[in-house]
Amino acid sequence: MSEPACYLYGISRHVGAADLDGIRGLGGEPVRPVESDSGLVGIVNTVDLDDFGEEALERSLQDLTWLAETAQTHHAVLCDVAARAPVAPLRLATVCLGESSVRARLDRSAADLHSSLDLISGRAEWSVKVFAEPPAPVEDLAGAASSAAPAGSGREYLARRQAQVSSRHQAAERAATVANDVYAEVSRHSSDTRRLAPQDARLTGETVPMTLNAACLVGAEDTPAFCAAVESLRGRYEQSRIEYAGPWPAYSFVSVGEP
Amino acid sequence: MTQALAPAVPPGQIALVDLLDRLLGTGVVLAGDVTISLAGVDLVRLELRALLSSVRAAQEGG
Repeated sequence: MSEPACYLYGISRHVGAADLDGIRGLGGEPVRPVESDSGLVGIVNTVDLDDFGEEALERSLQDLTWLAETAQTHHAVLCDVAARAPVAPLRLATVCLGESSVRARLDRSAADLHSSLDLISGRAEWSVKVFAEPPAPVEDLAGAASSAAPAGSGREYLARRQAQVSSRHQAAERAATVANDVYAEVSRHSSDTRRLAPQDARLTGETVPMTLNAACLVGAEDTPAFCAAVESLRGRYEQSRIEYAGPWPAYSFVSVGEP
Repeated sequence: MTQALAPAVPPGQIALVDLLDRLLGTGVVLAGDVTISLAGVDLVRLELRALLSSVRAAQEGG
């Protein structure tokens, strides 16, 4: 009989069954360690291939409700483990056909995984986002234009168009400057930083575009200074909304590229 | 429609859009035995579809 399939949440070290006691994963299954010879521990639980086989996953990944629940469980397990030991998070839906297959994968990428774990030890991921300033009201632009030419004339129309174009241009330049400045400032308080792609306005629900979507790896001892820096940036750029959130497992700071 | 994906979150919690951003895009990439393409998961399209089906359900319910 074949071994039961394992859903792999992340990879850790020095974690035993007792450390994972009480953590429940997908389907309410107990989360358990799979130790490899290379000193790494896979954090797994048993899943049914009827739900986590190729075909089922292809289908389920297109279902927002399933995706949301699975992602939140994945996150909750990683947070529980991260509270006990450093853990390198895996992407969603990494499924292996049995514990021996998990061990083989850990051993194959052992050097990269160990250096990833060294990097994230004692550190957590924070998110810092910047949204562009709201656009200048149209009346202001019209006012600026009408002083340059009589109302209703072709010149007035042109002047208004020019004012709009130049205002949009200036706003975009300013938004980029603010985003770069915020990124530089939060980088000073982080061990590492990444710029993720700004999120689509249809997902954020904002009317103004996101100009910075940064992931910051912050040491526990640097966290107060990091948060203070963001608060001070909020004061400096009152017109641009600056959001930050964390601490999270270090999703954006572990890169083990398999060939 | 955006409330579900971008709620105000207390410290340590994570908004779904941020979580999926990371779980689909980053994280350790280890090929499992079950091979799937996460690149095909388009959040904008999924969210619009979820919105449409909830509107449809509301219409059928009313």
